[in-house]
Amino acid sequence: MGGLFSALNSSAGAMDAFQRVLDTIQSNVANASTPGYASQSIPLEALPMNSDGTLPGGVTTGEMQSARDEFAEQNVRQQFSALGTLEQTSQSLSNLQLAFNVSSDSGIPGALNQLFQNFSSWSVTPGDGAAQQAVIDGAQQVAQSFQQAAQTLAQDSSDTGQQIQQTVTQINSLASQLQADNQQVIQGGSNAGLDAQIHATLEQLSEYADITATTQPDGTVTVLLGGQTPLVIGTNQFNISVSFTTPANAPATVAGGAAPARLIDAQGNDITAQVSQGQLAGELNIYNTVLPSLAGNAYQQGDLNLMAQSVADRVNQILTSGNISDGPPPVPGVPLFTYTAGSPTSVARTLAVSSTITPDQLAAINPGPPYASNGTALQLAGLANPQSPADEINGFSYAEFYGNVAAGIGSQAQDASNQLNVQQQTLAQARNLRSQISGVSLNDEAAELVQFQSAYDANSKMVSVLDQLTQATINMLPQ
Amino acid sequence: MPRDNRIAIEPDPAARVRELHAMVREARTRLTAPTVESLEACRSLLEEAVNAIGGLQKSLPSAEPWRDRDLAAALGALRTEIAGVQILLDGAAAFYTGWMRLASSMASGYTADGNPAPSETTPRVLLEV
Repeated sequence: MGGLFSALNSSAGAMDAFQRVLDTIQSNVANASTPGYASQSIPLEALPMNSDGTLPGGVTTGEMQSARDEFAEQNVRQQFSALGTLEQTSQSLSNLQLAFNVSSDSGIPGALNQLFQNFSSWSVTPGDGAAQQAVIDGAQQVAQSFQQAAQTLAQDSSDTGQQIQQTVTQINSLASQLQADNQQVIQGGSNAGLDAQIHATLEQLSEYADITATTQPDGTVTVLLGGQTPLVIGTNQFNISVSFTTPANAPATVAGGAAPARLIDAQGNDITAQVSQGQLAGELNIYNTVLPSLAGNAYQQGDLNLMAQSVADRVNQILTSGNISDGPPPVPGVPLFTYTAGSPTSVARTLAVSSTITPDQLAAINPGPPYASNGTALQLAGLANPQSPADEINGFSYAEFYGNVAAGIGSQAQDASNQLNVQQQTLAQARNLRSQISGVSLNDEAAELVQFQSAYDANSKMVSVLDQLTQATINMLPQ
Repeated sequence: MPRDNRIAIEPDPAARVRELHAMVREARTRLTAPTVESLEACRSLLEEAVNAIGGLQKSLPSAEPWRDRDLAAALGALRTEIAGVQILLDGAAAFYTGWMRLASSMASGYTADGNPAPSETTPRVLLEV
């Protein structure tokens, strides 16, 4: 009878073991598309048996094992962060590209071109009221174009500032979720579902910023921002915040300029430089570098303001050096443009035609020597094709300077778009590598190691082939 | 039937560069799943592209091909594609390097200077009788 009972027990144990394996397989199938889920497996282990029946044998299940590999997970998260940066940068730059149209028949270049033509027509008939009015109208168009461009940049800056704020809130919210998950892990609730939830949150978080996640011996996950700043350690969460102020060690150098966006950790330290990847890094780059290079901030005037001021100052300078009439006494010219003085970053936004100037106050006469009744009008028309450094910005005509700015934005947008395309494939590659490596046991599967060694070798061989191809293409096309 | 990747004789250099481009793009697509097999296939494709571009260089009518706008655009696109392959290859290399370091340290421990010891990865054959 003892033999029968032990055989029945053994069979029941085996049934139970197989049921657990089947449950695990079912769970794997059901969660095949659950974000963050890694397949689980239960090894079957033989129980000892002997012939006298004291050890009945049979089968039992071992510890449940996860196919997850943290090295591959971190690789996917890194690629996600890089994708986040590029998506943000590409989108922001393409918006800017639309605002800075390089075409000469619209926007700032179109308005400037028209003004120079109006100066030229006026120089032919300096006393003609219609020609004088056309100059005033053209100047108004130029002022409006600069104002519109400045408003677009201000709006972009405001939108990006809000996005930074939202991204920081999102990062804190995800960190809070991870902190709650850690709490559950410590309370003994660790299971495949919770593990999937943690990894899905980590992947989501990595799109916002570059994070490093390490699993501790107690099963909790530690999350660092930029490899240094703690976001979550065990059951503690450390919030980050954003501050739109100039730091004490780098006070503003340009009056009235907007302060940069700075990331602040829970202890009040400036950690902006630590965030180099993720959507947040892209937003910070646009807010602190790209937009200020055009619209200015606390540290620079910005190309748009520089150009607006250069055009306004030069036109005013030429007009005020001329005379409206010979007199006697001669009546000196008056400025055409105005802008808010003392605020270098507000020039484009406040550029306007003087409210007091009338068409007959445009000074066409250059008193000389040599005297010329249309001398200043000719000089103003000549701004289109400058012959003197005074009519240029950093060695470029106004049109060329604008063209360079617009081309710079266009080129950055194109680069970001190209990189985004490749990055999408790099992320796909990281995900494929994760699947490839998933479930490989480093200790037991020497054959798998051989396979990866082969892949590594194949990779190395390709490098030299690619070098040859790159060199051949470079030889055919200059950089 | 083995796939025929040979570049057809084509009078237009820009069209030939575009064919090369397609070949490099295929290599790039394969690199998104860098298994041993796909890496070997990529290598073949790129070696073929190297040979083809060598032949193309010799047959170009002008010493300054970028003066031909169509050809310059095709070469520019090819260069962008090659840069993409380079990035994916670097990604795969970084992954495999990291994985091998990890595998070595787990399989064989560390050397005295703190680096992972080389792992035994000699191929094994299992005979079942």
